[in-house]
Amino acid sequence: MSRSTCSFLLLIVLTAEGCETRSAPAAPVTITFTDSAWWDTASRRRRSDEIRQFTEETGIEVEQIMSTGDPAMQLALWRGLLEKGTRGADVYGFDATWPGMFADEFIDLKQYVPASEVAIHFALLIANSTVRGKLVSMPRATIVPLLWYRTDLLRHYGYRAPPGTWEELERMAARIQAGERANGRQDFWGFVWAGVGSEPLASVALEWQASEGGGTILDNGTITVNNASAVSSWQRAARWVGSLSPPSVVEYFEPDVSNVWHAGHAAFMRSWPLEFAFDAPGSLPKEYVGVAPLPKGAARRAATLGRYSFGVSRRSPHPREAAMFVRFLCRRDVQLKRALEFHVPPSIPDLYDEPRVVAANPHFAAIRETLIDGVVARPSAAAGKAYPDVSRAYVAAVHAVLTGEKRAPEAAADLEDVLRRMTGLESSRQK
Amino acid sequence: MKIATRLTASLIAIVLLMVVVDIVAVWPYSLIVSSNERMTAVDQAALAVLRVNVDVYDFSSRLAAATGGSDAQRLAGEAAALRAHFQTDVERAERLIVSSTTLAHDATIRGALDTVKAGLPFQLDRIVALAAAGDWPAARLRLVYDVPSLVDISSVLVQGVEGAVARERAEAYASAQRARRLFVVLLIATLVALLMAIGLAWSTARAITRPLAVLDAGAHALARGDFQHRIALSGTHELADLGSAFNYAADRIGELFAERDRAEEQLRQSRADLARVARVTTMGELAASLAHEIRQPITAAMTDVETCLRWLNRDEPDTGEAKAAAARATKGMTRASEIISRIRSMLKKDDHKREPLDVNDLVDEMVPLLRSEARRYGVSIQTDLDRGLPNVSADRVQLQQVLMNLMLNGIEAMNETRGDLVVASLAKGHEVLISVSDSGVGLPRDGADQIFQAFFTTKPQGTGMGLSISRSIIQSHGGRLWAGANASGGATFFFTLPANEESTEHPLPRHEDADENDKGTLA
Repeated sequence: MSRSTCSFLLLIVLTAEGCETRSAPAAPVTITFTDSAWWDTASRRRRSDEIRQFTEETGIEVEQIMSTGDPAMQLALWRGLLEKGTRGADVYGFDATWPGMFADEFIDLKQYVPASEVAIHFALLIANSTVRGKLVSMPRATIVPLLWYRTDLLRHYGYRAPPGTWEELERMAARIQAGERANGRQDFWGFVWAGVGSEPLASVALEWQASEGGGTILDNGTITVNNASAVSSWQRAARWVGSLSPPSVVEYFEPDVSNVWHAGHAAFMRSWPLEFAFDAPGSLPKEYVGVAPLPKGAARRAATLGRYSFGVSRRSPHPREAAMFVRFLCRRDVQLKRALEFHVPPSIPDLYDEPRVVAANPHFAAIRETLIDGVVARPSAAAGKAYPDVSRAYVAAVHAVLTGEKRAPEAAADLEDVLRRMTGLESSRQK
Repeated sequence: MKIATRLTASLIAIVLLMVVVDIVAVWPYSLIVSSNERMTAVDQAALAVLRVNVDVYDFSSRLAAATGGSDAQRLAGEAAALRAHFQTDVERAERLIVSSTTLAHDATIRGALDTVKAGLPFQLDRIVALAAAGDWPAARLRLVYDVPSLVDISSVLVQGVEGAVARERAEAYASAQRARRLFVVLLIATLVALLMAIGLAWSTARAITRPLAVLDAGAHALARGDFQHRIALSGTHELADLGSAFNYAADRIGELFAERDRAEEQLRQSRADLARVARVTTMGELAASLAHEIRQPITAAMTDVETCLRWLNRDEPDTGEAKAAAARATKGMTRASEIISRIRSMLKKDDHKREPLDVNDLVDEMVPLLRSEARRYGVSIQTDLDRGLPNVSADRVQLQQVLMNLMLNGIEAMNETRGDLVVASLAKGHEVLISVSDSGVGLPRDGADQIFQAFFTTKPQGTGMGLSISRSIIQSHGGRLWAGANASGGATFFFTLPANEESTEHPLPRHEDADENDKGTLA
């Protein structure tokens, strides 16, 4: 009797509960995505449009996870997400240093992206994204720094072309600054750049020393940073602080550089291509804005790569869908639209010949020119996972020189010691 | 099924029922509780996030005021206060979000929170650093161009959490609906469980009380002596076993009773036979006396007949004298005939018929039979009869036997002493007391009672059965028989018989037979 009683009661309960459990249709896959592009409002709006298009095409939902603009902080955030037990994002916007550092954390996109689709991008970008034969990320743009200048002021002070070398830049900046200050603009400066003691300075300083033949810190398996060319390039920059550049430049992050320049307080600026889309109220009229490749040093032109690609986390539960999203973001038509509407430089060479793109983006010529022989890589491939530490030590050394805390040769020698301990590599001098 | 097993099974079934009902009861309750808990957690997180959002707005406006005055000290102070306040709020928000199951794994919310948490101090640092370096324009520009993004992200965070609140609220509502439906199920389940428990209890109780009632009826039947009553209980339970045992016992007891009845019948028959034998024996012993007793009236009658003839044979027959002599002769013959019929009655077989009797009549009949025997021993029989004696219900022959035994015993006891044998009767309460007293040798010293044992005798020719038979006869009539020593020597035997109730109230009219022997003494 007890058995039948139990089953009877259970039956009642289950019948009642059974009305509740309907079989839901298979939920559409949702992937998560994080990118520094969130930081500026225009990029965010653009990205939302692109996601909407992707969802319409595939039915795959994309959820955006915000992140801060500072790359170091972004890195910390990303690690934090993973450590807190959230699975993190499926798709990450990559800084150029990430493939070298985190090759193991991402899937090989060649599983999902046909070779023909990979081949349309700049070979240089693909090469930077490929680590030991693994395609860690796919390029969605070409992000290299440029020299931004005031066409109106150059014209006003009799210059027909932007400076081709650092010496020319120094001379022109000094003359324009003096001229503007003579006109009563005491807060006007010749050249602004990101001199804060953080990752942006690693790119900036590397460009100075590489263009002078001072190498890229770690070269051919040795520590090369302690050399005369590097030291003299740092010393030259230290001289700029307080003369061509504001004393506070050593606190400038990239947004500060951009803010000051767009507010009309500087003649030249070292910044990224996306500045062209900067359209805050009260900023410079577009016709006053000119763009050139970074000036050459004694040895060469040197521009570091920025955040140009996307990768898929190996922890992603939906790698196929995530890879579909990456392919979409890197697709030719998407890049074309982005270039036309938002002035984002494509990673696909033939788009630079597209007449509409050329018409809408006169500054793209400088990017193509930079790509020909001007690109240098921060040593993330050589340092691997130690890159954040290497970069931090390098930035600290250079920043100390810029703020006058240390003399350049001393800072270079100290840095060499620190790096030796940190990486276990030998210095090129001992070799 | 055994009753113990059935009781255990019922108990388990009832406990299971209650457990099931409890589970059903806990279900909607836990639904509501967990939904409420999630709701509360999300609500608290939402409040905390709103405070963070206020902090972010506050940060914008207060820093704008502080940088407007280009006062580095004021800015630093403001920044420190803002940072401390924000840190408290954001950590609280983070704690609540992490502890909420709904929000903890929401990557968008976590990402936005982390961004705001890192972003606001970052912006604060940058602005303070730029101001400290004297670059107030750059500080103000950062406030204008970069801080709004922070506000945006903060509002994304608020939207995210509020979306979760809305979802949670909808979920809570759905839970409440579901719980309400489940509550109905609970009611039904409780009712069903209650009915089943009652049914179980009733059937279990019935399984015990019904056989008990059957057993009770059986026990009462047995007490009544109905050994044919059988207990009809089927099954394998203990009471059915008890029923079978009861039936077996009833069989055995029935057999025993039947056996006893047969034995009693045999015993009674044997006693009756023995009594008759004793009577016959006694009559045989009395034969000489009885013959004398019979011969005496016959002899007298013959004399009277001769006298009658003489009176007739006279020359002048005196018919008057002859008639008188013939009448005397008839009377003597009648006396002899009566004595013979009494002797015959003593010798006939018992018919065990109980009838209302007057004990005095029996005594009166007994005295003439034993008169000659008494005379032989030089004993005179006297009677002291209570004429207001009630009737008793008794077997006439058996009672005559008792009287005869006691009187003969008394007569023989006075073999050497001579004297009077006194037979007395007395109505005493609801009993009739008869006593037979002699002045003979008395009772044996070592216990008067042993004289009632079988085969006890003091007489050389006695069977030793007389007193034993007499006592058993009196006892079978509901009376007692005992003996006592007289103060002046000799012994008295007493026996009682229960009086007939109605005859006590209305004693039968006395049979006035003014016998010459009444209260007389015969030498």
